[in-house]
Amino acid sequence: MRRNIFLYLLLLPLFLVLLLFLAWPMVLVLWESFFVEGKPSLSNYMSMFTSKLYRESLRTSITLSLTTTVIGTLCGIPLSYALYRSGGRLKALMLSITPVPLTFSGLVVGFAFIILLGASGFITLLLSKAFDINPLEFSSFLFTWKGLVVAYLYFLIPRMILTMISAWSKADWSLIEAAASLGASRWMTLHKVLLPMLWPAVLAGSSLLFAVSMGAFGTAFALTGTGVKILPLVIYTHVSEVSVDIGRADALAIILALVTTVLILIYERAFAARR
Amino acid sequence: MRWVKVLAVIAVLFGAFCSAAPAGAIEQELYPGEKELHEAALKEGALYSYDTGPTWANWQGLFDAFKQRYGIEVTWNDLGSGATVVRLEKENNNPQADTAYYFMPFGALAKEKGVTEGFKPVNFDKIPDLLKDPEGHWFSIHKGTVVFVVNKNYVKETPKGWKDLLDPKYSKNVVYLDPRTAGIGYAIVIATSYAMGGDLDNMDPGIDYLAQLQKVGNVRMIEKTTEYDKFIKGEIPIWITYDWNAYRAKYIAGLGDAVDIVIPEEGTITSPYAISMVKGAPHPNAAKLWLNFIMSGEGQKIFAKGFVRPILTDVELPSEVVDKFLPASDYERAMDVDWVKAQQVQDKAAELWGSKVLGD
Repeated sequence: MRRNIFLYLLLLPLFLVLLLFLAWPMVLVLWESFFVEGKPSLSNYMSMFTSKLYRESLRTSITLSLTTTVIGTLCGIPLSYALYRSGGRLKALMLSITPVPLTFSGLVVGFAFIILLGASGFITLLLSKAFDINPLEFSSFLFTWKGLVVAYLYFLIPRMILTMISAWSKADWSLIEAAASLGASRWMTLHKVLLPMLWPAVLAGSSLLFAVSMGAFGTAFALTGTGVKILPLVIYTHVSEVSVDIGRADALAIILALVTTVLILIYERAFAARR
Repeated sequence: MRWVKVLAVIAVLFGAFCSAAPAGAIEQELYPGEKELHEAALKEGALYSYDTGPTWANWQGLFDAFKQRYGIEVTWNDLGSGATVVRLEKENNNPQADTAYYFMPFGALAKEKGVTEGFKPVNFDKIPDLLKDPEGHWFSIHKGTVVFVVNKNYVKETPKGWKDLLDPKYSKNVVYLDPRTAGIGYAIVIATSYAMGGDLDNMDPGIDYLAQLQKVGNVRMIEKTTEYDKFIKGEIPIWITYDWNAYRAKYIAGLGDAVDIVIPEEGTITSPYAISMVKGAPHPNAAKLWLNFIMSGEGQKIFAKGFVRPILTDVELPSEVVDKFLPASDYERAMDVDWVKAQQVQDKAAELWGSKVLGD
């Protein structure tokens, strides 16, 4: 009993931080989302149904996030395996480099892609010298949601690798050997032995990628401005300058959080059953 | 001859020392009562100026000059006009800001919300009546005119006006700021409305025009924060923005002949920017000192040095700036607008822009 109290005391700071910087703001956001000009109202939420812009933004956010999640997961798994199997200095070096993209602010990531792929970007100029392409037309995709897919993958793939690498390390390879010696085909080994071992990490990793994509703001803001129709940018338009409407922004933030959570729950429920 | 040099060095050092010495360094008052106000402000020791981002409208120049003259550091933030008013409202019981700066229509909004204090700075009488609150709850301090800034490395034929921008040869060329998130974006909606035959009561022509610009694929992106850097970097062929950004890119960043500045032939508008003293300001004397300085001939000149039009028309513009401005005949195409009315219709216009230009 005494030990328990000690543990709780250790956890207390974390609990306080979560309360202060996660729970309390969420409560405030939720509370304010039910008010319009000081009067209780649901119209902030109803606007999601009446505004075509909001609906499309939610749809594009989901499309963008699904795309990045699928590509990020499919790239992350083999890369993490290769990294796991490599050894020596190379592995140590790669392992210390991989998390670096996660430390950059969105502004840096946005500008990095402009410097590479923008109208006067390095790659764009190289390509326009080699082939007959118009740099303005070529680089214009960068400022659409497709450009965001490319930019987001830069910080999503490392996340997938980091989640997977511990799964590879913890995998029990003797089971694979056992399966092989008992005459299982490669496909069967993969399907019945390896995948179930890795599956929790794949689920956790891809859910993380989806959540990060749905909520990412800084990169999109720096790279594309506010013209791309995704929900985080629409929320921003309601907390700055002309169309300030905090209640509306709050409601959209709640909707974004709810949709993200529900989609992840459905996904994890549906696929966890495979184990 | 050596002693001459030594003396010169001493004189320079002494001069530097004098100008760096903060308190009591005012030799000649800019206006009566300046010294007294300065002493009171020094006791408060700080100044919080909301929404004066240093790279916008040469605020950095004003911060530096204020610090040099009075020894008081300006603490600033860069919230955006609308967010500034919201913040002041939230802090109403416990004000943190001394002054608040915004796209002029927001001054009227701030007064309506009861977060401003009436204060008439020096030269208040010289501000045109339409551009200030009669009791000084807000007053305009400088102006900007909506222009095109053209990067000739991409654009072979500089467009002359709004209609030209629809030409397919400007595919993926045009960048402007979001009317929902920036005063300049809203100013562009108004400018295009007038240019296309509408007015403040009917902004459909402007919004339809911008929707068409989007639809033909000539809009490269809708920006918010980093457009100046992107233009300098060579990412923006045609940028619709305020004239001071244009001159800054051409003359201060040194792009020179690669940049054309165009006041559209169908007309454009000039937007005023205003400032207020905050009600219950924690450093009221520092706030007054700051507002007076901004409105003094000295302060107004610092705007002009950054190619920002001062609100006082009798301020003598620095010669290195005056011959670089486009001719006055071009500026005749820039009209003034009833900004109080513009404020009342801006929510609707911004929403309409969102649904018509981005929605489809």
